[in-house]
Amino acid sequence: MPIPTTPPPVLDVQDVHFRQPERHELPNGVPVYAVGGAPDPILRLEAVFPAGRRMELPGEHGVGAAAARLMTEGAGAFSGDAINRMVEQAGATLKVRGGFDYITLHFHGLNRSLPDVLPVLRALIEDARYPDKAVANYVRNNRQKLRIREEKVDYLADIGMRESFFGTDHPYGYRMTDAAFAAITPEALRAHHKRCIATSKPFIVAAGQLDEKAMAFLTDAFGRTARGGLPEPKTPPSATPLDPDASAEARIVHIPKPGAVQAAIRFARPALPKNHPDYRRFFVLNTVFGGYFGSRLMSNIREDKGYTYGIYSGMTQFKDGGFWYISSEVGGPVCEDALHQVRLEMKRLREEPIPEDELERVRHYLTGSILGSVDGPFKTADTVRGILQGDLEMDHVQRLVDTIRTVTAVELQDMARRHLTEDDLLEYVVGHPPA
Amino acid sequence: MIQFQKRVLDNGLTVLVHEDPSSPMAAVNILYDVGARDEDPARTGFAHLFEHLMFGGSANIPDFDGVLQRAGGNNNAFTSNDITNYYDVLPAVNLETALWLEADRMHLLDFSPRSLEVQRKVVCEEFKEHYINQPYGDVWHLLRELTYTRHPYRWPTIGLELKHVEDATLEDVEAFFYKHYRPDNAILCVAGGVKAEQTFQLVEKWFGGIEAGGRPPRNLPQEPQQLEAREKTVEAEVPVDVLYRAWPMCARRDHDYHASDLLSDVLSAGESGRLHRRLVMENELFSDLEAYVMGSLDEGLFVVEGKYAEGVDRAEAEAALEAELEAIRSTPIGEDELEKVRNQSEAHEAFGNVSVLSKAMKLCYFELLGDAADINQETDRYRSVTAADIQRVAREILRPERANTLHYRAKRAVPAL
Repeated sequence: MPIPTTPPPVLDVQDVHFRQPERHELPNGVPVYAVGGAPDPILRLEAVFPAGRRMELPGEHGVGAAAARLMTEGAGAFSGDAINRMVEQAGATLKVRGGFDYITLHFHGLNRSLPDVLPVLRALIEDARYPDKAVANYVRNNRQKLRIREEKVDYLADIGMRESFFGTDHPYGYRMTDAAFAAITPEALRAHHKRCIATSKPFIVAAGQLDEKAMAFLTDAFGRTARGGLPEPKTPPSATPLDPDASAEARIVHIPKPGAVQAAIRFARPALPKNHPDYRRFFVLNTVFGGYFGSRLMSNIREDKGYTYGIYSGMTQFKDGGFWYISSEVGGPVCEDALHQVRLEMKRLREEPIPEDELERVRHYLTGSILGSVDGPFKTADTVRGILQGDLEMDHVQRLVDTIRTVTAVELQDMARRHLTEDDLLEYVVGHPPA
Repeated sequence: MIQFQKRVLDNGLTVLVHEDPSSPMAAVNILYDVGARDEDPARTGFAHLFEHLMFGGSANIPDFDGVLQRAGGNNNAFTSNDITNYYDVLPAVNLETALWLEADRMHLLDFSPRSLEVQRKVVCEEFKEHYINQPYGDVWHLLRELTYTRHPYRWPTIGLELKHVEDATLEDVEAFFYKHYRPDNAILCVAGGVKAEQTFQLVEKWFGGIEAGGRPPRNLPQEPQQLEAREKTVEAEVPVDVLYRAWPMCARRDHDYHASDLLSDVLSAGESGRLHRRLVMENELFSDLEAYVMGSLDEGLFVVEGKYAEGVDRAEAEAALEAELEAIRSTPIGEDELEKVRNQSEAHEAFGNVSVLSKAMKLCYFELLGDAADINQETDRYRSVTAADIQRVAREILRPERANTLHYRAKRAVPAL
């Protein structure tokens, strides 16, 4: 049988169907965004509390992350040991993690065993204890982990870039140090929990098979006690060498790292606010530049030159600011040329319109990836959480699809001229070889 | 319950189709029955390098990624010691494009010197990024070398050394392709918003004309039974002392695999696992301690890995670890503990069978193990493990005389906290 020689036709995706979550309100006003449709009776929920770094008190460092991580180490009448045993006995998984804006409680398990974990879940949301021993253990282990991380150029570059961008005392900018871990106290964690978790209002995204059992569980776990909003913190504006008036040297930071065989390179400039009229068009431009495997950066620096295993650009958005970044690890001897090539690719997008076939490819790629991001209950739930955390509207998906379909090469070149600029670009390299 | 249909083409390609009408996407997964264990000891890292070359263009398609992106898809691949696995996920309306792409590169790869040169460099950077420029990055090189004396599992997929990758030639590439990348050495699964009958027709259309190669014989040197414990100590510029201990265990297809996996869960799954609870939380001898199995197709490893807590006596910590292992060898676990690890595997299976891609990957893997339908037996297999089974495999695996211990020590004096 001969092998066919005519390629199959490529069809346009006609319709991206984003099944919007059902919005329920628990008796105390806590919103639940529910996405059903799992094949088995399982539940995955994420309760997102306004309790991350942004809500720490002035001078506190690492309290949000520690308060999150240690919530499961003792609550109400349960020891940490009892909490873990009861949750895991039910085949469930419970993790609480703190980030820049939020503390997120991740839970998943089998619907049939939800009643077994309810008392535990309530206790740790309402009355986490932060036993001295668990806090001391956390501090000790994290001081040790920090020493391991600080050997890695990629870690040093990520935190150093953030620190340069926001400032050393800014909640988004500070770096965790040995002294900062040592300063964490059980009292501070209890106070943070009381203020930002026990009485604050989270939003909940639930996915799986949302039968009566699952909904009753959510109501009993999160809906029974009074919860209210929190006063917004006064987040200082981000710093620093990004000031267009600053000298070019101030915006180029090269940190040596003896023994490093690769250099970690980062670039950053302020992200567009989500309500900016260019926001969605810039998203498409970022994809062309460094947002997917076929991007300009990847084609040049990995596929053409073989300098790196990977190079990406993207946006990190927080509630009060954010940055657009480029990130890669490259061989030491080619570091200088890699930095040069990155700037060259930015310039090329400012000076030349994107060819139509490349833009078509990006349109289809993005439409397909958005279709994938709303495929099935768990991916849909992830998308919903992203929308809510980003303070976006539920029509965001549709508006993004519309922009992807209609944006032109001329508009994207205009985006590049406005937003792929170098006068406010921070260049941060760790492991830069000595000149 | 995951329903699927299976057919085998005349050229030996095994095809599985799973319809999931709720999904607008299609996942196309191809598993080639070749991994790092099939490499020549003088040319290690080749299966993984080859995985990179599979994206370097084929007979009619110079740019694999570009064509797939144009159809709204994305893809990736991975290489293990046992298999090489490629997948594409794209809108179901464009399923045929993914089949065309995969068939074209199975039919005839474009062996260009330029592509080889670039991917050699990329893989060398990957080697540096993950295995050299990281504290403990070489641990699997060291541990595999210690635990396997003859079997090709003694090298990791990235290869023994950079030089093997740097020395790869076009002739090597071509020979590897015709030996291992033939339809009769592959399993294809399509899962998602597709119709089975139409999918089988499309697969026949694109793959039916590719010639079979004859499955290459696999005569791997078998590992002799280990008779005495082995130990190795290395010093490097790392911040913390780490203990790695590995014992030989059964292969993935062995009837004791599920009990062995649950044994590792009893010791270490979650925060309530014995090792974490007793030696990290209660006794504070380790800052981190876990046990896991390598579910490999030939005899695998059961591994315990622990970071010593600051300032502890290492001998004391090791003795406490040994006491935990003795406890699980000498006393059957309780019903509660057994029910816990069974429930955990049930949830793990249920959550793992949701996305179209994970279903396609798992169907291919179970077919390689013997029968794709076994994907639906997995929860029962875990459920039927008894406390006696776990004690039996603990006695079989965790023998002091078969332990392989790697002490990874910090070279410089660490400043006291």
